[in-house]
Amino acid sequence: MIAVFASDARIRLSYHSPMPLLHDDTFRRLCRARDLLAADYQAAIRLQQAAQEACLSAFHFHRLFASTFGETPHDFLTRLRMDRAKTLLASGGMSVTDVCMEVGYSSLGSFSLKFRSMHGRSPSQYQREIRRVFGYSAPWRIVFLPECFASAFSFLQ
Amino acid sequence: MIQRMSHTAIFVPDQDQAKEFYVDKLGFEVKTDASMPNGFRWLTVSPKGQPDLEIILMKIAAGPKLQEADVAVIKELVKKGAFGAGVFDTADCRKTYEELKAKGVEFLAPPKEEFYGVQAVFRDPFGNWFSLTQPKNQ
Repeated sequence: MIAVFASDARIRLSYHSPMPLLHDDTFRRLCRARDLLAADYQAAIRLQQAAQEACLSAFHFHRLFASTFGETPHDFLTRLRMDRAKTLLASGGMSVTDVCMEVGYSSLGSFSLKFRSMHGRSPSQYQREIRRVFGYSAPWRIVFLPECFASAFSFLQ
Repeated sequence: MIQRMSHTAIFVPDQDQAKEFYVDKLGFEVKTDASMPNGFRWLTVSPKGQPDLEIILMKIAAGPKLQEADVAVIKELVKKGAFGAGVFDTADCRKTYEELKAKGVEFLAPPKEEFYGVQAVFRDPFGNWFSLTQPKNQ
């Protein structure tokens, strides 16, 4: 009886699994290509090169990347750039223009527009808010850390 | 309705050693590694195929909710293997088993055919154990 119940539970679990896993070698190659993109995230996207690393056509690579990682290669790089931009803006010493160049944008307008679309405010507004709330000297606080975990496990000062 | 899980925590006695194991051996990527001036370290990792799930490698340490005596008890329980910490999916359990074993990962059970797929069981250096499952439909 217990075995039947366990079997049921497991079957239901697999039923809910979002999609079948990729073949192990394909997944490995996709990860290599993703690492390649991440290592040079400021550069213009090198889709062809990444696709070659994964031994796939550009079209197939793009499709598999998106279905496997939940974001397109372009979205992946944009997320890395914007995450880095947030850290740099929060850490105090850099201007918005410097941050824009540092994370690989050549146009301040495109950078600001993308930043606003992802974070709901412009880079300069974001930097002002951070400085207003945290001051200039506490960049360590600028990480997403659920308050419940912080209060349960850390003596916050 | 709850739609997804974004964070889950595993208790580890040593975060440096945990990072080495989960990143260098299991191949996960670090999502956040931030230390606060008071010593609290927020360390999260994700399996490469699931970048939106962050596994918090939470140090077993005294804090507002844990006394020193509790810390000792949890460390002991982890070491005893009291905590089954999760199931990781792979497309090829036997191959992954060989690879991880070659890297020094300790397995509690080798790959075995089950009705739902192929499963092996391994543990982290502290005692937290995981199922490594190749689901039947692979």
